[in-house]
Amino acid sequence: MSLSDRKVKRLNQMHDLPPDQLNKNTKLIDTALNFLCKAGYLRVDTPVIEDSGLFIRKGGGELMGLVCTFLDSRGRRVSLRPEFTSSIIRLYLEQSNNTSSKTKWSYAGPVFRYRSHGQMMLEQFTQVGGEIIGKSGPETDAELIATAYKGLIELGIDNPVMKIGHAKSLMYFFNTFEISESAKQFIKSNLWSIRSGKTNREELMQRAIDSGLTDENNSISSNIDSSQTLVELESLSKDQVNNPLGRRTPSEIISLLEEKRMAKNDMAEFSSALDFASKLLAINGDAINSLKQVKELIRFEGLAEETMQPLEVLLDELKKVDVPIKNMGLDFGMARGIAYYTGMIFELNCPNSEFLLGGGGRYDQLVANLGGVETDALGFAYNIDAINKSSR
Amino acid sequence: MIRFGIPSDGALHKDTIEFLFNCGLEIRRSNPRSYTGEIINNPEVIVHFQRARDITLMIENESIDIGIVGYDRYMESKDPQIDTELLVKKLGFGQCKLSLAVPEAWLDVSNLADLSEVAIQFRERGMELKIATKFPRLVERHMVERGLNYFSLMSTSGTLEAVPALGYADLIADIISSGNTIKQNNLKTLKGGDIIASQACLIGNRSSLTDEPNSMSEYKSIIRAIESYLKSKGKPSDA
Repeated sequence: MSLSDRKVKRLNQMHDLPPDQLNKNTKLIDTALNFLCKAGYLRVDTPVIEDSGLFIRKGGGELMGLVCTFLDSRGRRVSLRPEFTSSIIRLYLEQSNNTSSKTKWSYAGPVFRYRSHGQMMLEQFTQVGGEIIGKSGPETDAELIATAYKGLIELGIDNPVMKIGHAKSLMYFFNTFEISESAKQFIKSNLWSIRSGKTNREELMQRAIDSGLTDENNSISSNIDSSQTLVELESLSKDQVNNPLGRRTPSEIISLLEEKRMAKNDMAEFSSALDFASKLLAINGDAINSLKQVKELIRFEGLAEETMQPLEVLLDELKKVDVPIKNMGLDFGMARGIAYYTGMIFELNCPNSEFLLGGGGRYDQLVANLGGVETDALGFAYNIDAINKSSR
Repeated sequence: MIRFGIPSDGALHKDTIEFLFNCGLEIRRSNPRSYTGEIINNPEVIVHFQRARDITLMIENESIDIGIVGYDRYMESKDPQIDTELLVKKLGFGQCKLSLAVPEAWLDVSNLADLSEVAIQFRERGMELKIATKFPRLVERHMVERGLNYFSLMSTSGTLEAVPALGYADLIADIISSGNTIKQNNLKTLKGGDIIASQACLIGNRSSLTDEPNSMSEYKSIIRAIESYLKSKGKPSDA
């Protein structure tokens, strides 16, 4: 069969919406936006295509593997938006003279992303969401979660189920182990694959050993005289033709060399941290019960109980805004951009299924990463197509 | 009739022709500039000389039925939704690996964990580590699975080794055979930086072959010839 014999087909996973489906989708979008409007969110819109650098600076490689990126006809590297948050923050920075320091914005429209890393299955779905910029504290976290939760009920989902995690608690947990920053990043990046069973402990351990995360003695750093090396590197950095150091400075290289010299990179410590992560991820059930189990685990492992404080405070705040705790579970292995969330993280699911209807979290570094001053920010988004399939 | 894609360029071109000759599948071309040829002992096979990077895509869209490509290139461009498969995984030539290489002057970086620390250092300065590569999918997966999240990939089609010196990227992920070119350009490889080990492989589109039952006998005779040769040389084909 030649190519010319074939009919032109819609691209896989891209959406057509016949009248009846369009009607239902439009109603859901309108309902969600109206609900957000009543909650004080003003609607904004941003382009479907953005400079790829915007998404790189948000989530780095973790997000970029999911983004549809291409060169436009003028050779610029552009991406179809995989989500709205980066664009919203860019807009906030561009409008910063005209906007209040505390901003609540909503949005609606299509987003595009590959289903998983390394896969070529590009999917389109419709998001409606809200972002709060410039407000800190657990009460704001609870306010946003309550809005997302109650909005879902408004959209026809009875008794939605919520999973909650906290990047700060995770950070506290892993800071109690004497492992390097890269080892912490390694474990955090693999939390979801540990929990989903995609990768077993032995594979992860081997991957860590192969990467050098557990190298205890570093012959390079231990044999180097830092002050002499600094002089040599400074001399090298003057070579503007061969640019031997690239964008790094001699002092940056020396500072990491010194860190390596001090680092223990103890394999047993790394192994303990990995085991702790596995035990943490095995905990499930409702939030109160899970919290008890996590505390028991923390006591058993000899970690400080304060590590759980951010989550406990958040749960207390959620009780005040009438979000039913019984529909809530703790989860430290959510497959959300672990590289950029800095506080609470949550996902909203359909009851009795793993159907993901929405989610969000706090990302206080994002404004700074996109070129602004450090600003508190948090947000959430619904997947309208998933809600369309699940709502009454 | 079976359509057989052979690399028309790159390191695999000559080796593929020689390999097929050794398998008793000598290719005849009407003239050296022709993009088609035939297998002398099997005129039912049309040979198509195509760019190595295009062969997987041409098999996926059923323009050709089988082809020889580098395993690295196949894994990079394979569409998981299309029914292509590895017919013979190891043809015993074209061995190389896709590896990360950083400037030699980065004395603090000897393994992937060190590179992760550099990525964190860059992030603190509001920058991303830039990696130039022709294999963005494979590189991205390798890095993310190992906890390296703060980086961006710079696709390029030219010579990669000079890119860090030009400032276009901080490091490269490139095909390395002997390592000499890397050293000559003041770069070094890293422990944990090997992304994929590759060699030439035979791939095909199962559905295009089964659509044409008459082509199955030609297809099977090609596989037989290749496997017999590999067996005679004591090389595992891992088919």
